[in-house]
Amino acid sequence: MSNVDRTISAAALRTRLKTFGRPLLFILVFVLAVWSIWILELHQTDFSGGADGLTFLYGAAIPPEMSVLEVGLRGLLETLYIAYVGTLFGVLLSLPVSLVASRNLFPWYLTLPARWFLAVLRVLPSILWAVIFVILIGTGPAAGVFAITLYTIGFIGKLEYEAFEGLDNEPIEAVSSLGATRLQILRFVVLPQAINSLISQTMFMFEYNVRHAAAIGIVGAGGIGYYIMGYLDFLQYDRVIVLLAIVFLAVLVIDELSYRLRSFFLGDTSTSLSK
Amino acid sequence: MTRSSPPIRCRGLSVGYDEDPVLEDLSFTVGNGSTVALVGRSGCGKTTLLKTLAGILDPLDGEATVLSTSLPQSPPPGELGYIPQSLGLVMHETVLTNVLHGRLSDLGRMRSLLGRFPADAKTEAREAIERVGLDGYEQSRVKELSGGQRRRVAIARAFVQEPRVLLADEMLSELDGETAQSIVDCLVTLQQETGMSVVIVEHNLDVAKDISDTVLRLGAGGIEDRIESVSTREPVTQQSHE
Repeated sequence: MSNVDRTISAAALRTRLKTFGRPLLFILVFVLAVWSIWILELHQTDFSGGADGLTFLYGAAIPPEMSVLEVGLRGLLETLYIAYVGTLFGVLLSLPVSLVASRNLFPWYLTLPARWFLAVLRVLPSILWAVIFVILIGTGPAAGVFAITLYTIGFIGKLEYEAFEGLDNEPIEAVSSLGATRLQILRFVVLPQAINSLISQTMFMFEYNVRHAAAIGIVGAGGIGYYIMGYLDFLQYDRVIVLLAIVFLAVLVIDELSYRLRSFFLGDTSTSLSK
Repeated sequence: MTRSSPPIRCRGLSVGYDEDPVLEDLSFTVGNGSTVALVGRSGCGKTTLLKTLAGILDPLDGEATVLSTSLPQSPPPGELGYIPQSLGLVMHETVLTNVLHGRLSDLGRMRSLLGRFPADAKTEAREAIERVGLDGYEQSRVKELSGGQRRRVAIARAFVQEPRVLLADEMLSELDGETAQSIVDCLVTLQQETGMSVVIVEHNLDVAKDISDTVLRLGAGGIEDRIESVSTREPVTQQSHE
């Protein structure tokens, strides 16, 4: 079979897959959804006690106890510190690993272990890493920073090596044939080409980590979550609601800031269908 | 390597991807200071051959020596220049930085890490930028330049590198006649000054004859024809696009 024949048969196969593949995919998605709902018995959920629960929560939380505002802001600040330091350490430590994990830059016997390493760090969510560090080094923000750092390495490391593998290969080939070393290729071609994606991913990671740093306090790893858990233990819902509102507002502000900064580094992403 | 031995020599060379040969049994030499043009229809293997000579693809069979080094080993750093079809420039970087890439082989490990080039390299790079007519664009990002200007950046990089052999893939495609001529002039100047040998991929036979000493017409899995041309270096006319 000639190269041309092979190309034609591959194209025919692709067309057939497109014709029959899409309806099959939709059916598969639908069947899987119904199956999952059935297995989880979601259709038998009892909502009858919901209204009573809501009434109880409303009565216990309203009016909010505003005297905890200062405690909440202090907790929020600690959460932001944990997210910032954890993100910074995580991004810096992930860079060398993600470079080695990129298939277009290193041979498979180096990329494979690097990918496994990143996958292992991603297996546990940051809250479970926080449980481990609380056991190892005790409660407090240090456990939170370590937990966020480890999870960040695993999570952003994957995004980074995917960004490196998506780069245009011709500058790498051209500069490589000029006699550049691997270090020079990474420093002068790979990182400058990927820098905007890296900055954008770092912003996204920080935003993500703020939410998670708030949650990991629940297991004793510092931040505002630590205070939320404390008030929940004593059923002080009027205080809990104030702290939750602080987290909600902080996440909204950071989301918006992060979006604007990422748009700036990636170019204008504000294209709208409404135009 | 003595200057008299040809910088590129191929004997029974087969090139292709994944053990699937595109061109087979190629035998040719490229002499010192000469220009060889590779012509042929799209997909005939021009770029594959060039990538093999550049050390990006391993030869499938036969022998190829580039600057006294048998492929797939790499020739001494800095002696081989390669300009791929899309020029291989780092689009987010400035013109000056891209041109300085031609001097990477002189840079030590610490300077590489810090991204610091010596002052004489910067002076040379600025001179090269001026010679290709891009003075005033040193700090412009390559992505902001036109296609013709980007090609000049690639040539300025070669000026700074001064390679013994330059491999260039379709340097003149999609350019108007005037711009193409200025690119050819830059290339000829560089060749006259450094005595480098050039292998250029060009799809237009008339242009190929005009700019080279030998034209190798590729097709049907090998070299179909060899044309020894008397290069007149006359102005390049409007390019036909594929």
